[in-house]
Amino acid sequence: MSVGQNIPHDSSRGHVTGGSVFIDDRPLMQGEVQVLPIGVPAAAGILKSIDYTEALKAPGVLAVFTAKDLYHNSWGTIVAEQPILVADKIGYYDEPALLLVGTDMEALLRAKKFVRFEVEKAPAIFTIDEAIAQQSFIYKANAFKVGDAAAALNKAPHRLQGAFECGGQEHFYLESQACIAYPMEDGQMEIHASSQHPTETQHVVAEALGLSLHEVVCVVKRMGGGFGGKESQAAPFAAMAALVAQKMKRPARLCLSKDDDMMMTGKRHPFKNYYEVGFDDDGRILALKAHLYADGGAYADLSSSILDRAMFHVDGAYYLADAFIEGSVVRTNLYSNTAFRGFGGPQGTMTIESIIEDIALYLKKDALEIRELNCYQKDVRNVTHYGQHLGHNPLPDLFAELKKTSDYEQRRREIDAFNASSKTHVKGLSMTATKFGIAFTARFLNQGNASVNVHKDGTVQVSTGATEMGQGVNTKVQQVVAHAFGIPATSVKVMATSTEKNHNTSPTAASSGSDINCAAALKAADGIKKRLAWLFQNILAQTPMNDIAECPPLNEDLLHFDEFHFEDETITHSPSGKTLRWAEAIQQAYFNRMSLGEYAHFKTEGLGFDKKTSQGTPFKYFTNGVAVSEVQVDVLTGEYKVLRSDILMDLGRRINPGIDRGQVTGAFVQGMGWVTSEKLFHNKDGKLLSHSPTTYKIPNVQDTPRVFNIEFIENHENRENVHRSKAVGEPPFLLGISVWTALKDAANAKSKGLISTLKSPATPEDMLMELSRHE
Amino acid sequence: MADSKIRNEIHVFINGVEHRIGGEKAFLPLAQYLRTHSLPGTKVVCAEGDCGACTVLASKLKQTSAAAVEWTSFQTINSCIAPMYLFDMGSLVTVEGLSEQEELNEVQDQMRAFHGGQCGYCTPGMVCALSSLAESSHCSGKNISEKKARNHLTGNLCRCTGYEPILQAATHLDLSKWKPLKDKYLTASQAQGFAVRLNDSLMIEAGSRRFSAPASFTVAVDQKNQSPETRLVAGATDLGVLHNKGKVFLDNAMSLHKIADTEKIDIRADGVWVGARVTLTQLENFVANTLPELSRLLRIFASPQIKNQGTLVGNVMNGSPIGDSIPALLALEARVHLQSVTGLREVPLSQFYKAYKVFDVKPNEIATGVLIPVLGTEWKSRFFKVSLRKDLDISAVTFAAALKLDGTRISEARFAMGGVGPTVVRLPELEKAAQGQKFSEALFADLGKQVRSLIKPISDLRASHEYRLKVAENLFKKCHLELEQEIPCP
Repeated sequence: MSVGQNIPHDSSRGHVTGGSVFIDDRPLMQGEVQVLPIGVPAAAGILKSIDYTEALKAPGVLAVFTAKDLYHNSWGTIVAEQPILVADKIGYYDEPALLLVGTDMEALLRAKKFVRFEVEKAPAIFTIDEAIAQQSFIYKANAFKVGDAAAALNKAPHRLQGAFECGGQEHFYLESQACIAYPMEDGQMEIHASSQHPTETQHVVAEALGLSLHEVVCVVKRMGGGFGGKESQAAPFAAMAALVAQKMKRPARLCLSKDDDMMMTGKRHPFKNYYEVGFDDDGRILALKAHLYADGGAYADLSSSILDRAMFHVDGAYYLADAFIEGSVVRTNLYSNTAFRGFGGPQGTMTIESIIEDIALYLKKDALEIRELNCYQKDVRNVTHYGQHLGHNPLPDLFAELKKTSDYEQRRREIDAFNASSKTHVKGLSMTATKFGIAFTARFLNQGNASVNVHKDGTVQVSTGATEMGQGVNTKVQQVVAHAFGIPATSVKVMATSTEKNHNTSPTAASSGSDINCAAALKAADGIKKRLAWLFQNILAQTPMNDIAECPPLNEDLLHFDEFHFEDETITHSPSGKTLRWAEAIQQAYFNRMSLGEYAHFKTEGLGFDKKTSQGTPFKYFTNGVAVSEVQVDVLTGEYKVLRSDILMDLGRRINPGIDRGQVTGAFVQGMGWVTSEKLFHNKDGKLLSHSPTTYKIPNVQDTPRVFNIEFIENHENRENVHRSKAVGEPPFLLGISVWTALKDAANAKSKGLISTLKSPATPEDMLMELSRHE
Repeated sequence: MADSKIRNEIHVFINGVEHRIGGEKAFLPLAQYLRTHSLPGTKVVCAEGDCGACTVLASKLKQTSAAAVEWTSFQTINSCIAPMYLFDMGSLVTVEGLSEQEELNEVQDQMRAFHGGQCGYCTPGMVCALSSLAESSHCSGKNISEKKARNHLTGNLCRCTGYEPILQAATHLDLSKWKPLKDKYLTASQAQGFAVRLNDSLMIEAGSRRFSAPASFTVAVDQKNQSPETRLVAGATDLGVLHNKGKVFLDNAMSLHKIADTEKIDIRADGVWVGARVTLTQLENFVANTLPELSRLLRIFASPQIKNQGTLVGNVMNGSPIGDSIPALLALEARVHLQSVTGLREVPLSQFYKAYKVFDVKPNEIATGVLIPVLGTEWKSRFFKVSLRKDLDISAVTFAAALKLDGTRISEARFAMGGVGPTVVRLPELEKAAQGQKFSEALFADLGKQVRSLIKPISDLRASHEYRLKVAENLFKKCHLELEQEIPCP
């Protein structure tokens, strides 16, 4: 019974001993070179020329490559418009334009200063409002329409309008973008990359080098964190390394420094969402009109899908009877923003959570009251603004339960009393929710494949398209396969992901890695189980198996598969109670020349969404949760602490409770970082100045909630997914928003009616400035 | 003790194996040396000592008397910014040295059990940091509290777990199972082997690079006089960063760590003497009772790893306009000692900082220590640091106030601020305004209003001009609110 057990991560032994191998830990090969990409010193304009003659003469520099060395110089997951190396038009400051190559990184760093760029600068766009004014757009979505928002707004007793703004976020995976390209015989290329999407990495490398796809293999053992940042953007760096490897016929290692990684790669999309909301005296939302603007940065990347997801999640956990939601991605001269845990979902949901705080202040009510009133219900008010029925909806129960277990009402009274008396501090309390749609909204991505190989000693190797970035997908696959065969988890190893074993795979993203790949692995395991059951059925039927005769091939019509159970390293035939040991079955199957390997393809059924009408079923199911956070703000400096956070989630039947719990704590703290201390700062030329942990502040161990309670409800009803589990990667990220709404609640406590202008992130500076509006 | 010699290589134990390192390799950052010598478990992420992924444990052999030597207890350091040459006569333990073959140590076991690692990239550093905590705590027989664990892990960033699983692991350590690292890596026989070489001085040259660690001040000032471009390196917590980022290449460096006197910290008639090699950790502990407010400030000054390497003198000589210790030192009227071939100069810190990164120091002078006068009981002080993140952050504004009180009347006031101009400043106008006044809310509200016109903060990525002004004003109010508790109202 491996599924449901809290076993350690399959790499945990390597992690705690330093034995786990990451890209830059791979031993140097004979002749291997280092690659240092160098970015352009301008955000917009034309790169006229690069003078690298002096750099090439510097000690330790072996070669230089630029755009003209590439066979094909554009890539892009959705729109192929982004250069791998700047050829002429510049997209953003520090965009890679040149590769310095040598055997010693320090020598390359010393030589870097000799590279001269000649740039004809052009005016640049750095903000969403500037982009709107100049009509600089990457994508405009079809509006989502439900009911008649304009009419409902007109009739609404109360209206508020405004713009909600949230900033970008650096992924800050600890392992920066990293890859090594090994040139192989016959012009082939083997890439070892820190990539969430080996298939796309393979494709981008092949195109860049003028190779066919079957000449490139991409291998991913593990990543030191990904969070979406290595979904699309691992690929161009792999292409750079591969270019060097191809031209020099030497292995080429490209491991970005943290500074270069932060300056060169895209981040979470900042959004500015203009809205108008209508509501009644109780706070019931009657109409929402909104236009979501996402800052895509310089190139399309995944921005259109990210905007779509923001629009899908602008309802949060709340029913919208009449809504009109528009969306646009603007083009600016900043790094190309990309996938990041939540993928637009947080930016959509945070908008409505912010609006609800405003409604509460306006109506002089507790915001939780407004949330409960608007929360999706079980039997009515349970269809989203894009027409998807919520199905089994635990949201009302989650709100009710957490309100009770977190002592919400009592604490609210205490906080009110504290705020009335304290001269030095003000406290805030807020509960928010996550209702995260599970599936890629691009339907074709909802497929995967797996191969399961049983070896002669009964141990098993599994390969899937999933990539391991710490989230424990390999451990879940291991558990699901071990469970299927009834063998210990230690008898199953999940192997490095490689495009030569699993091809045409989707990125490990959209929280779907475990859903898709566990399901594919289970399907493959079932294929082997059927043959073993057939073997055992024939043994029981005394079918001759000897030097003359062997077990006949599987005939599914004659197989009584449900009579065979795989448990405790034994196959049991239930009707007779007869057993066959796992090891014996494997031996027998081998000598009867039966396949002990299986490949399976899996696709998520039941998805369909009409982009023209913006109605349909884009998601397989929803993962839900609620969180309540309490903060305390120093009114003299704006500095604050999170005193307590309580989380309650519905993750169905968890395949590994410990791993899922870690996803929840990690996502929450990452979400809270996004809305509090993680501020991106650029100079007037558009160069990112906060490009290392000295200047860009992710939460540290002192910032997390002083009291942190994490609980789960029991839910055995998610028949939509493997082992009735639920996806967990992204949904809890949105619960970090409760820290921001609590900060907003704290500032609102000092408001004499003035509606908040707080943006995200709310740094101590922002808090002090917001509080000073109420003086 | 044998005669001291000049060596051109360093001798250091790494996981119990002696390494002799000379030439180019002695100039590598420790992390890079490890990673290129089959010890890739130590990770480099930020290369600036801010994330702790490169944390390793370090001890060094010390002369405790003419005939005796002793290992210092293991402390965590950031190996990414520390040049190899600083570790002569040291013993280092990396993540690879924590377990015996298949047998994990207690920290590793609990980190696995509680899912303390996800992606695994911060994990080696976390495991090293927690192992040093276990090493220093196992004798107490008590479990590690969550607070203690947090304080110890302040310098280790994790992006996956939200820290909660790591804190669970830390608080569930069964310290009775801890096998002390010192029994394996800080043995008497290892000490004995090193003892005869302990007082050797170092002179390592490789190409155009040179590093020296003289064994006496006489030699040190002489070398500095001959080549004034030599950079003095203490913990390298700033210079190591500049080197890694290609801003300053530490091609000609000198360390004073071979001069025993530089490690001295003691109370003298005129104050606390802090030698050039005294780390911030040592200072924080030493002044806990004599200068409690300074000790409190040092708690949030930096991560344990940085404080274990960095020195007060290094902070003073780096002279950042937001240098966290400097406003406090100004309010305490500390003095820096500068030694050269021509003799010793004592310069009050209030006169030391001339302009942005311009100090009253001659090219041939070496800072040998800082003298911090101790405040009498009639003094009250408050030192504040305001930053985007409370811990492990560089401040936006720093503030220091020291008030001499005669009942409720202020007989002398000293105010200093950082982050409000090109250098840290004393505020004589406000000191004069406060002198002779009654300690009151109105006075401090007024001082806060006045300070706005006396400082010229800039807007940068840490804070805006407006915020710094507002905080400067409010810190006077905060100072009053906090000291109000300590000063009895008549």
